[in-house]
Amino acid sequence: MGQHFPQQQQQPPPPRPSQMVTVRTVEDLERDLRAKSQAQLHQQQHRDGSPLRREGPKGPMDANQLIEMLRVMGTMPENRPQGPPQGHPNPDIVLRLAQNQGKPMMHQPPPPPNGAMMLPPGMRHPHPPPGMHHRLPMNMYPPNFPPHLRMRGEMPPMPWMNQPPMPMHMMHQPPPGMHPHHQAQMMSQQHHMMMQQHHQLQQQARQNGSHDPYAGLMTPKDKQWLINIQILQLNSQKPYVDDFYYTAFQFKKQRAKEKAGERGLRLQRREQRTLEPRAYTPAHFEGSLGKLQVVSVTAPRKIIDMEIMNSDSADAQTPVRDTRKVKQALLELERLYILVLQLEDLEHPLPEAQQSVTECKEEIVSKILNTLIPAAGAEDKFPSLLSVRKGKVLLLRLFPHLLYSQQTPLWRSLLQNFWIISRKDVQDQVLFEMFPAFREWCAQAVLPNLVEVISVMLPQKSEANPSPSNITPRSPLPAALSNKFGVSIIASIINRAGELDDNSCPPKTHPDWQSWSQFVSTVAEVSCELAIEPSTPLDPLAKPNSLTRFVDNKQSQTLQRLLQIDNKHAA
Amino acid sequence: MNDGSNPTCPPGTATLLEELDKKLMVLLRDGRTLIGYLRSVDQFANLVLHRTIERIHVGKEYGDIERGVFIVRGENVVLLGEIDSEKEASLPLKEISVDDILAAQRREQEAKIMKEKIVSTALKDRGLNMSSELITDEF
Repeated sequence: MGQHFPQQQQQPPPPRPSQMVTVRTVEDLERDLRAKSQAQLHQQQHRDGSPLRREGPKGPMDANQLIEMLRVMGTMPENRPQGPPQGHPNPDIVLRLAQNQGKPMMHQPPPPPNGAMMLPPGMRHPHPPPGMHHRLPMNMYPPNFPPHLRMRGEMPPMPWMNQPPMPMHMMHQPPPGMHPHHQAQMMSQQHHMMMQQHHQLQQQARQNGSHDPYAGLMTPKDKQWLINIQILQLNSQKPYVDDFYYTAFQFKKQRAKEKAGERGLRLQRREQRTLEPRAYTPAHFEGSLGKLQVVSVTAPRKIIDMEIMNSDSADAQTPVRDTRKVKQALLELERLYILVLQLEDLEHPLPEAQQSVTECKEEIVSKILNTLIPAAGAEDKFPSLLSVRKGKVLLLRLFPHLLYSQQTPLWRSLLQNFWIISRKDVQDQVLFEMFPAFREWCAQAVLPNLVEVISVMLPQKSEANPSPSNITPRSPLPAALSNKFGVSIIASIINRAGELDDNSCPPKTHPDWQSWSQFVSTVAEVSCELAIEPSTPLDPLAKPNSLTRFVDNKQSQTLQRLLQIDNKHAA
Repeated sequence: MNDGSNPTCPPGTATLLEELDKKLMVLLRDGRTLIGYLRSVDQFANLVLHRTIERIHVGKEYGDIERGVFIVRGENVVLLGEIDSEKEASLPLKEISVDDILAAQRREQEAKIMKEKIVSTALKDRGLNMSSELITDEF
């Protein structure tokens, strides 16, 4: 820092010896400035008589001062590769400025944080051409320039530098092998950039009325660098998967725009700056004890998974095992949800959504059903999954994608575990939302399907899959009858059976009808035994006559009362 | 070369660059509150705070300790927010000297420890063992 560049040599040897010798570091300059700033402050105060501003130039600036400062810092470039087409600091300008010295300037920008050259507004970088030096054989010093300093070539503590200039962090040490000429160019470029940027900020700050000498430490270049890193991290080949919310939102906006009538552009993406993916190989250290971790931006450190043991009042009552079960159920549901989301993506209007799903529909569906419908001898997860609200919503979302035959076992399982599920549904009330789906299923049911479903409700019947799980062995019928949803299900089933009976398909001699009559009589019995008043079904029974074939009169009446058969509908 | 204006962030992203040169309040993970001008950030959200003061609150009183320049590692920041200069000028709290606020803070800490001791002995009497390592309250 503070080296003298070749352009210095182009000047005619000035009479002062100082220029040949001086190699002053920035730190030295600052020190001197700080030491003398106070003295200068007082001087200025007395001179102007105007109230001191907190930070700001105390006197008019002078082109000479600036030139001198630059010279001392050794940053006068010989040629400037770019920049605004500037004139040289013509002698006119210099003279004008010298004249202005007596008059106080109206508006003076505060000193720059980096000690770079300060310019009065509108003035360009004073760049004395080499020829200038010839014209001014004598260095023009401002009148205030302390003569004793001239000898040492020091810069006077400029009145406007009452705050020490920031260490020139921008002007880092150039690489050792660099040509001094290039150094000069680099310095000049940096200077120019800093000045321009600072100039702009100054103007803004001036408009705000505030003066922050440390503002603008981050140059736009730094900011751009940060933003580039962010953009890099946003890069993705499949934005629908990686950046779902942004993509979906853009899609929604675009659709709204299209609906409003404007033919907008296609889906706007963020700009992608893709780098070729580099396979990460962790750094390997020779001869080290244990595994050392090297952390970088692309390979961050793995954080330990901490599990916090809570014991709040709610859990204190229920045993710990229960919460663990719930958590396990939730985890399982997460897995299933991902599969259901893939199913839904297959029908999403966005093409990239469809492409994001790699498997075909049948595979995904079979995966889901493997979990929901237990294999022979396996543990049935259905009740635990359906006890949670999330599980029921999962079923709801799943039904539209299932074939008819795939739905039947699910309904069966639902009825089988009705005790648990209905008990846990009291708060959620999600079961009712499943009713339309059931109604649809029922409307297409043939007798074997119905029999399969109701088989779980017949007591003492050996189940097709004797499940070793801990579900209650008693029939779910009482639970179903006391629950509005359950009653609606049963009513729909009976309705459908009635329709099938009317149409005589299958014929009346079919053995399934025996099961059916058994079922109906069971329903009647149970409804009589029910202690509490049964709920009313959502769809009242339409055809009472169907019942008479299976049950005697008394039971039929009970059933009718139970299922709220409206006599008007009697066929 | 550059036009001097600040570059804009890609749409739909958040950045700390808009908070530069603003007076911010930063809450750290160890519970300290720093107030300073944000000068520089980086990709880890490390912060360079300038003219920072550490503000300690005890009840309705607070005290400021001058700290100068801070470099905060990004992972230690809980949250940060802009300080409204008008509201800052009209705080409903009372400012007291540094020594006073430190004394008040010490008293508050001691009271908390005593209370915790009482609670844990009461729990032990009832057979519940509450380990203090599991409680990681910094506030």
